Amino acid sequence: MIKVEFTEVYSAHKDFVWRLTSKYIFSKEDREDLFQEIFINIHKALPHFRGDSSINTWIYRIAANTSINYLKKQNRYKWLKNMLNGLKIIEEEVQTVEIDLQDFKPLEKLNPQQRMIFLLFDLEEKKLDEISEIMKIPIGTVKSNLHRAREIVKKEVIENGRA
Amino acid sequence: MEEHKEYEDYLARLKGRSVPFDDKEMFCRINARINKRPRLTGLILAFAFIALSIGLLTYFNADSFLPGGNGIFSEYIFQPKDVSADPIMAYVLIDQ
Repeated sequence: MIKVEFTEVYSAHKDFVWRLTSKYIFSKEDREDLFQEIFINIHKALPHFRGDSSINTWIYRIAANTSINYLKKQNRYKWLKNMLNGLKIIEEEVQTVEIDLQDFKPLEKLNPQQRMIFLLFDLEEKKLDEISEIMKIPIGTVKSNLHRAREIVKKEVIENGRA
Repeated sequence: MEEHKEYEDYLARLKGRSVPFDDKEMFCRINARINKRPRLTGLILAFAFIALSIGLLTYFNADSFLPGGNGIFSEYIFQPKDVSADPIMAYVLIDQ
């Protein structure tokens, strides 16, 4: 068992985790919440880190899984949130937007897994086998998801560009 | 060709996007959440225990063991046919 200090892990990986979450989730509150959730999970799992894979891959894996689950959970309760918003039972969430959301619109069309694979490959420049190891899925699944994600994003970019 | 360029431009734009964040403040918030968790879990467990106790006592009638109690214990477990054979009842009778 390798003993790694949480503060060291945080200092070494905070930037990439933030980069990933800031492109994965678009509202400020959710992004910060997800970022914290990832590091809480890392903190929880750190004593069990065996060093089978590199710490980078291990952290990428936690970040990817936490993000996918976070988005799935959000999507699951979207209808309820919309319904409560419609009934004015809860106040509409005020989202602090400090960036132009237009660029993130195409990513909204992707499902949680496609979005993660797209970000890891095209923005984080990870290789297919690395993504397969991070997400623990076969390379074929990575390839097909990436292909589908790119098609969707391309279509959205072109349509938005013409609009 | 132009469409492909549009897509490439989009990727470059997305790659170049950076959202500033206060890493120290975020670290404090993470620490606060990590330290808050056990306390919150303890509180939830304590509430659950109290609620369960109240529920059980209400369901089984808390006065089952007392004379005149008609809870499930006195009804199904003790069922003293001869009241004097029941140690609690005998004690109560003697006391009276």
